[in-house]
Amino acid sequence: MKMRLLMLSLLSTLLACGPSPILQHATAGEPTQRVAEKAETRLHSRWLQGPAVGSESVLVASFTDQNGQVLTLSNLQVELWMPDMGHGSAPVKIEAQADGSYLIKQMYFIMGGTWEVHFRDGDRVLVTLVVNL
Amino acid sequence: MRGQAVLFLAFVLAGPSARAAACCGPSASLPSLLTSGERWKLQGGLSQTTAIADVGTNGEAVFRRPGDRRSMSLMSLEVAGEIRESWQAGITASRSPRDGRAGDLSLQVMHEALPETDGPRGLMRAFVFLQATFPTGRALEELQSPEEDPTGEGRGSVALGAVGIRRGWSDDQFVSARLRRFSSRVFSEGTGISSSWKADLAAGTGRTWGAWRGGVSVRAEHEGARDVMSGGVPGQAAENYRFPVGFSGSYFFKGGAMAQLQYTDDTLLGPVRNILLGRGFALVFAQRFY
Repeated sequence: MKMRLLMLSLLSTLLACGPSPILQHATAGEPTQRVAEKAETRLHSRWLQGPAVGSESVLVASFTDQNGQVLTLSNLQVELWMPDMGHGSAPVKIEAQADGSYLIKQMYFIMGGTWEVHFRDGDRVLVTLVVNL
Repeated sequence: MRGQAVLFLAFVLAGPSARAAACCGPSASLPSLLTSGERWKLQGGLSQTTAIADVGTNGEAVFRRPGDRRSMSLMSLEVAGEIRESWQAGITASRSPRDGRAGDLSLQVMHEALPETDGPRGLMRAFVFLQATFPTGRALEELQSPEEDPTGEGRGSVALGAVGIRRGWSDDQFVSARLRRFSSRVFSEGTGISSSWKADLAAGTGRTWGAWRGGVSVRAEHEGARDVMSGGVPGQAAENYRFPVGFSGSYFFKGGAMAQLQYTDDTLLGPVRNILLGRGFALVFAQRFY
């Protein structure tokens, strides 16, 4: 009997520590996005699919310099990164299009929260897109 | 037989050898201990965990729409044996049943610091352990396609921990503590994460009815803040914590075998912060050898 009371007290203490997620939570809403400040390059982007958690997202992106000239990138790399969590995601697939844009497939946001999409030319980060899911 | 069953189960209650985490790879669990006079033990498990909610740095849990609730499965195998009096060693391996890819590998050495002692309400024992986890699994950043599951945490770690158990005639309790130190890692040029600390505390209790046993446990997990480099810009990944609750039902066969069904839920207790919450089932089989 004493042991049951002890366990009940322990459980009550834990429940009192903070809100239970199952009793107090929100439901996933619409995603938002913005381009991070101090970008050297202008990003023009359009989602063909997503952005969404748990399924493939597809983005069309093109880049211009400060004068509006379209940039042709020889070594475009795109990396998904979740700074609050300290992890990234699977590599994406990039296909250059005839009009100078890039089709970015297999973008996989594995969980909800704030993501950064780093667009690089080689090792140089051109622009970062911040996506809230 | 009954007393052995109770004591044996106190540690199975801690969870399968490795629990799937639906987004970020499985996390190494507490080492399995030999507590019933057996010379060695073989334990296998199959777990499936589904991501239910994402929690940001503000502590608000955002439940996913049903279509976004990704699931992940993991098979695990653990062998533990007595290497000399009061010393044990074990190895834990895991694998993704989806594509057969190996998970992280854990090695552990345990010492019985407090041999079985008569206490006021039962028998008490305590163990300390050292656990090393090698990042042999596939981390998130190493996935080749969205269909693949991560099978590892992506970083190696060393852990120091202790487990205390008490067993009575038909009930048992355990408490455990573990402190882990993760190594740093560079994912690509300008992107990486520093080393970090992670701690977990757990407590549980169970009751036995003949060859059956039911148990419940609560664990507190906390990982400290980490320095990160993201896109060449230094920052900090915030601390995270959650309180998984586990329920288990077990059956003991004659000859030292045991089968157990576990349910784990991260969404029942708060507070939570900067972490993914999941729910999962695991089926565990174990065989003791004397």
